[in-house]
Amino acid sequence: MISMERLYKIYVVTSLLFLIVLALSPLKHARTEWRRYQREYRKIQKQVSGREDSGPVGLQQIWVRDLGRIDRCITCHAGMTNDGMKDSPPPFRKHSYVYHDVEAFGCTVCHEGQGLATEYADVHLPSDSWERPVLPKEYTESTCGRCHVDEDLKETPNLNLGRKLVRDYKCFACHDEPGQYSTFTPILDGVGEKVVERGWIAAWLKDPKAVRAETKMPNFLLSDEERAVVADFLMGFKTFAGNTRLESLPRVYDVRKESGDFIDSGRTLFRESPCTSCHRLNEEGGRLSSDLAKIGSKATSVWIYSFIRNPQGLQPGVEMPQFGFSTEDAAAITAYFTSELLDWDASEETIAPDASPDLGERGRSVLHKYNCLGCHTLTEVEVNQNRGPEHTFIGSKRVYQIWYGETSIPHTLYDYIDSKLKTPRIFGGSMRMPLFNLTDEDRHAVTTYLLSLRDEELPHAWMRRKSAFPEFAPQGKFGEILQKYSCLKCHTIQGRGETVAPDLSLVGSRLRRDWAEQFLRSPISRRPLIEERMLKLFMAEDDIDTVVDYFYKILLDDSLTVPSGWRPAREAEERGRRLFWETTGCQGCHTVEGRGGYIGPPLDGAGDRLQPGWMLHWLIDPQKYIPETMEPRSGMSVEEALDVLAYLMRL
Amino acid sequence: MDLILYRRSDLIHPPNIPPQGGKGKCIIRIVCIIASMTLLMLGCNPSSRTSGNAAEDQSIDADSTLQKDFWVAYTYPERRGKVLYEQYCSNCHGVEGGGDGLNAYTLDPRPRRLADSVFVSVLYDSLLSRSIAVGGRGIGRSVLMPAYTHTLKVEEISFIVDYIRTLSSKQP
Repeated sequence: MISMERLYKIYVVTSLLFLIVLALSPLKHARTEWRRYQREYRKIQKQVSGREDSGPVGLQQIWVRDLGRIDRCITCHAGMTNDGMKDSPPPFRKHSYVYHDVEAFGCTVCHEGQGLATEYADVHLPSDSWERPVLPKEYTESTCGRCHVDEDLKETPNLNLGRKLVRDYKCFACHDEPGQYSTFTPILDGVGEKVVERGWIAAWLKDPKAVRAETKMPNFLLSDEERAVVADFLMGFKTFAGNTRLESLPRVYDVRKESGDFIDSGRTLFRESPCTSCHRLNEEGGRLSSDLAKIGSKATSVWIYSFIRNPQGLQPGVEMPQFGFSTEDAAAITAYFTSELLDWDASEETIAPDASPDLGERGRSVLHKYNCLGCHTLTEVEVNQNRGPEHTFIGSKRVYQIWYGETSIPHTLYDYIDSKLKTPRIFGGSMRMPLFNLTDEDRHAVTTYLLSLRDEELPHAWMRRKSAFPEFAPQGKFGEILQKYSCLKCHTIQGRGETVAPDLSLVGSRLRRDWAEQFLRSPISRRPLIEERMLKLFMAEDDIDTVVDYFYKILLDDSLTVPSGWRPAREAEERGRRLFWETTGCQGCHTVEGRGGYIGPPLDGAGDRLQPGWMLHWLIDPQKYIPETMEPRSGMSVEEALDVLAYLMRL
Repeated sequence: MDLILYRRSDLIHPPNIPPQGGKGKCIIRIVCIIASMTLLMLGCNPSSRTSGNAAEDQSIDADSTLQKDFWVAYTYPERRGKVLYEQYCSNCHGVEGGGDGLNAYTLDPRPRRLADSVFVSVLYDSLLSRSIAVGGRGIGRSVLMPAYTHTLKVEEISFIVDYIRTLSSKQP
């Protein structure tokens, strides 16, 4: 037995040792990483401004009350709001200029990460207990989309690009996306009459981008057997939508289709219409529609002829406008296509035809499996929709809900989405999602957009939704004309349409009436640098009258007038000429009398083309009418603008 | 004091307990246990995972080529400046700053080559931003360079200046 004395001694010694160990714990507390950063910051502060923060080193935090977030990022990133630290090394560098106040918004609402933590790994890196690490830079714009829902801001180009790509590549065909979309996909009714032979469909399904590089159709990685089934199944559809019949080729085609003159006239018509405004041909042309380089090997001559004569009949809803070609002109163009625009490198691969009796059943099952009818329309076939997971709130998906399969990618949401877009089928599961082959930039943009689709309640004052204006949808004759000639495929009117061609919302106050009428009859576009030019549509006379009437009665702005009583005078012209050439240097972008730059439209004949009221207000503030225009606002006064106007009216 | 558990069978056949070393050994053992606990406490520091790497991860490699990740090679002001430069400036000064834009050959004098590092390095930031803001006429040069002060905001001009610096420093 040990005596009591011994016991006391042992007790004293062990207690002392225990207290020493206890004393080590505040030492550990005093050697944390963030204290090191704070001390270093004070050193740099002293270097930069000669003064430093007083008081003991401590945790700094931003408390965003509305969002209930506390962000301790500024403990280490201490120079975040210090102007003198613009060039300091990270993490002390001042935050780059952004529209939002760092101290009002905090950090994690934009950059994500664990705001309350103070160790580097806990804040920045993903871990089992925190699934929203700091977003990589390529995805930072996704958090802008949490508040700025559906807004195309100038400061978020990647988010805007992602939104546009999701619309263009038609993700909504299989996944639920927010917003409404309506874009055209070729209708498969009558495809058996359209395509020259089944081999084309089989080659297309093998790799669409190899046949036509700018197509939006992804690669479904079908097996040879599935391709054979689909090709044979589709070749059986020989009636077109609405029972439209193909127009038979005129005699002149059969007689002259081999003759060089006829083909030359077809080629000239093609170039002058100009079909290359929308279609591409061997690297030149517009990007609004498909590349026609191999069209002769794809479609039959009868189909090409009928389509040129009546696009909306064969493919209702297609964006190609109705041209007024005569039968001979259309036949010439067809001859040009079928003799020259052929696929000389077509592969000789053949797939064994599928002659099984249940071809219909098997065809329908393949179409169902890959949800082909999510994009394409095929009215004769009844196939249930087979959609994929919805995307409406994909940005809020939890990591535990994601199955990473056998892969070794990091377990974060953005890595999952990015890998899924890059190689959709590596995760296993139902192997249906096709391969899109996007560039890295496009893929990051789509991931950014998808990450912004969240299911969360932010305070009302923080959200910015675009106000829902009723969309411009004219009725009656004018609406029919817009539909027939596909005007809004290039032009914008009151917010609806595309930005390829000028905005027509104020055209009644902008262009002179006689010039506009003449232009619709025979468009001669003199802007030098553009690929997409106005089409020679051979519009009917009363169509032109309706359109011009509508422009000059409705699409006006009464404020676009010159001051009453102003008349152009000789001295004003002279001053204006000097302002134009010597003060503002407009000839850097505009061509006048053969000299000048090629960026803006040439200003010869400006007085005959544009109205004076428009020219005046445009000179004073171009960005008011076209916010993204390249013309810089010159800051000239109203008097100077009137002088330049006098000069321009004389050109 | 060692605690020894006795089983009933041991009382009949006592186990072979080695002789104890006495009270000194007892104290040494306790001190060793406490010392090892101390060392464990000091060693078990969860922040030791990546504490040293913070500065490295965040630093931007100034020598990175353009083939390297775009997001690492350009800082935020440079990325914003790139978008603005390509919209407003590249038509005359060229997409890579070579003074060879689409419009350049119509202009006399030709636009400046911004990729020329010798030329750009002697221009300090405030001069560059002033040239953009007041145009060629404002700095006593050709009127063909427009003044952007009414079109671009001050920070947008500073982004463009940041980007122009990269045109002469980052090699493609």
